[in-house]
Amino acid sequence: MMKAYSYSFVKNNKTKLFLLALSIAVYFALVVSAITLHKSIPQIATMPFKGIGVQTVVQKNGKIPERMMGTIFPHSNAPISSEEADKLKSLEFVQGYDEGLFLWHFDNAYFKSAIGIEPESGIFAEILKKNILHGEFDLANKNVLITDDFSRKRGISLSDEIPISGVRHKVTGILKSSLTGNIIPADIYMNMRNAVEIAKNSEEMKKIYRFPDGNFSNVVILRIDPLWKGDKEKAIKAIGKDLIVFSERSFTGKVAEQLSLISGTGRTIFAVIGIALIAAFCLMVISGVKSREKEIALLRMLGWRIKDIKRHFIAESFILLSVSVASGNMLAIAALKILSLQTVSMELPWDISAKPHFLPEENSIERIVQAAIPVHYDWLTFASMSIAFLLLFLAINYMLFYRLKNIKPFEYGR
Amino acid sequence: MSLITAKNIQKDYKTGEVIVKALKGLSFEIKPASFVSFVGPSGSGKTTLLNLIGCLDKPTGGKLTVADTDVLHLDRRQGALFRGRNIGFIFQDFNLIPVLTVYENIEYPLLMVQSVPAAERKKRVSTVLSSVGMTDQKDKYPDQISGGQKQRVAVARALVTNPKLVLADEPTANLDHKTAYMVIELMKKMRNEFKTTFIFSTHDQKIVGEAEIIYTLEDGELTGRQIKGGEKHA
Repeated sequence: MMKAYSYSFVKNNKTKLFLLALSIAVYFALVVSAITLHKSIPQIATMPFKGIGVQTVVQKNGKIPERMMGTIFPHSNAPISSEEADKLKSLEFVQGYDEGLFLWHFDNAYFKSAIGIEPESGIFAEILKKNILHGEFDLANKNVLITDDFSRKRGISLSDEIPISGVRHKVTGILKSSLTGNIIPADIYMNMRNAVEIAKNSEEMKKIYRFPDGNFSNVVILRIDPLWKGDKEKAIKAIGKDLIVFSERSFTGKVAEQLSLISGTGRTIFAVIGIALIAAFCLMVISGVKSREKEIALLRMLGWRIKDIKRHFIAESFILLSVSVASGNMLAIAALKILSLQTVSMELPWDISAKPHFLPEENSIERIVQAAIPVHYDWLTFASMSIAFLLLFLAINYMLFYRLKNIKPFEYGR
Repeated sequence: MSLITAKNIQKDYKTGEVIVKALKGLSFEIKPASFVSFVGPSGSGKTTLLNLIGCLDKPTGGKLTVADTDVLHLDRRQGALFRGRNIGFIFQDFNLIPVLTVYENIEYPLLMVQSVPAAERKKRVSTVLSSVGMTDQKDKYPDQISGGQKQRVAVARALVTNPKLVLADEPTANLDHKTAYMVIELMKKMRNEFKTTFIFSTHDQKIVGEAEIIYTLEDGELTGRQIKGGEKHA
């Protein structure tokens, strides 16, 4: 029968209660969506590396050559010493390792970018082998692979020869373009020994670097243990002060900016809305008690105790909140579904998109990476926020019951 | 054995610096199944006395026993429980809950205070509804019935918990004479049927005569006691 009493109260206040329930539901959905988005930022930030299949790229700040002539390294691709390379390889969170030697070549014909890799094994070799369009994976001696874009742009076909540093290199295979997701993209792929020889013969590079004996690299790619919790950037930079690290952290800030729901401004807006909602809820509870003051006084006269009244009002609030939170859950699921259709943009830093920005005709590489928002329905988030909302609003409800103590039992003559 | 025993009941109210003596040492006894009226002009202390008997207030002095319980020493929680089990209340302006039907208005004391199971509740509500002649109106809301009908519902509500005592402060003040007599006759009938003591206050001389025992109050003092058909005592 008290259900009838509560039901009648709801009937008489249905608009106010509906608006309150809807507000709580919408706010709940926003909070859950924001938390889910926040959790997905690290994953979104790793998207640019997806194409290359690694999580971290390490390069080294170096010097700018006097002239852009012949073969040079980009200034963010200084030689990495073998000691540094060994240390990088043996970091505890490194699960996969490969290195390359990245070159720019300027001559009277046209600009070329090339990368020397270990052809026998390694992450680079893995990628190239999977992406041969024509020809074969053959990097023996002076053999090279070129990208499809480069082939069409320069009119180069299989078995043609490309001059680099005065040496003719035979094209044995044509690759898909953008196969590393535009990270460390090169037009030409050769074996490491060949690239080192070209680099060591570079007049401009000899002026600014002392090359070690044997092979060396200027770009290292790492596959990282996803469960490792430490600060990997710090661990890498501890190996060499000039080392530059590119990882998901390089993009996290930009991603967070775009997901403004969870940026600094977004948080402020959330806080303001949350306070307004709590205030509205308090007013609703107070007015609900006030409008039934006479009835409460009568009920107390008839024997209802304060704790019975509190229990009744808590039950009413619990039902309202449960409906709100349940609706909020459904709204959150719908909102996340819509969000999963959106994309965020990440601009690759010049240093790892590695085409010279001063040659606009060469910079046809798209440096903007679009990534869909990977939304996961984290049931732990849903459950914990549902419980938190229920407890918070019930606690507020309970605190406002001080008013009930002031409602004395109805007396004759009052 | 008395249902109510009052010995030298006093009640003072403090209004600022002024102390108002609302009751000045009342002593009386009321037996079970009595039909009693307290009469007197406004300000004589009738309402104050009913509030004390109903455990809604506590005397400043004296001793008051209701249904073998010294009500002076009941705390708030005990008072609420005692009222719920032993006392029914009828009001001048009915005080029915507007959002509940006639049936629900009568039922709710059983639900809230006594936690009576559903089948038993139905039986008791149906019984009192029938006794007060409101069975046909059970699904109507208070704003759909007349004043006399509302008071009948109030009588039923007061009786549904099988109280030992029903208190009524000016129960006929908002009714015309014909309806007022009908309500008083109904209360008498209920007294006969349920053996419940009825105590009502009134200043309507025409209604007073319907009581079997009449206590007269003036200025906080008992000035007379009359048994219907018997002598008047000071």
